[in-house]
Amino acid sequence: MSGSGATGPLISDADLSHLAAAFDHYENALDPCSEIAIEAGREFDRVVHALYIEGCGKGMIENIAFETFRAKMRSVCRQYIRKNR
Amino acid sequence: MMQCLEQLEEVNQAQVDELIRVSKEHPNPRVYEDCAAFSKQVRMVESFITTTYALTARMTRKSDDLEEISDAWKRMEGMCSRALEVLAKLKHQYPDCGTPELYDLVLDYKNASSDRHKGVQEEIACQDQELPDHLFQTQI
Repeated sequence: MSGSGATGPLISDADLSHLAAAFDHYENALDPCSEIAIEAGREFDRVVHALYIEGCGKGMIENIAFETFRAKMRSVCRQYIRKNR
Repeated sequence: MMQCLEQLEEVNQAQVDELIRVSKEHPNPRVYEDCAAFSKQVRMVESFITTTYALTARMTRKSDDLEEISDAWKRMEGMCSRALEVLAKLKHQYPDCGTPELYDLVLDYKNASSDRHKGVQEEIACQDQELPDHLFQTQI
């Protein structure tokens, strides 16, 4: 997360790379019961929640429910993985 | 992908049917040969479910189509559900032949498939909604 005040983007390239990796390790895990997959799922949820709170606090996300934001971030991560695979 | 999953659904049904057949042919879990025969089929079902899940994960990772991804996870969830229906009865008949453990594993895989199916459905539901551009340092 940026932590650099209200002017910069909410989601840096490093944030997105980290989030997409967590999503990939969770969503596309060959063994969904593995520690790595379960931990990656928790990390994805933790980061998405933190970004949402930060975005709301900075007034960058308006009229978007958390569930919608989370679903959109899943789609963004899918696109990122496709683009970078 | 769908053709492949249809074939896998057929094989899944055959494996579950075979589990029922073996349970009828070897009904006494206290007899070594019966438990051994049943355990062998338990391992076959376990192997099939775990492998099919891995294939589904690999295929959906490569797909660009959310509807197709959603359908794949729904099918995987269905395969687990069909196995669970049979295992729910057999785990009491064969409590020491690996059946309760297989039941728990298939339930975990069903829940994992259901989570992914639900997640993709949520993505489809808000496909038309856009996030503000300024949220990202670089647009995807």
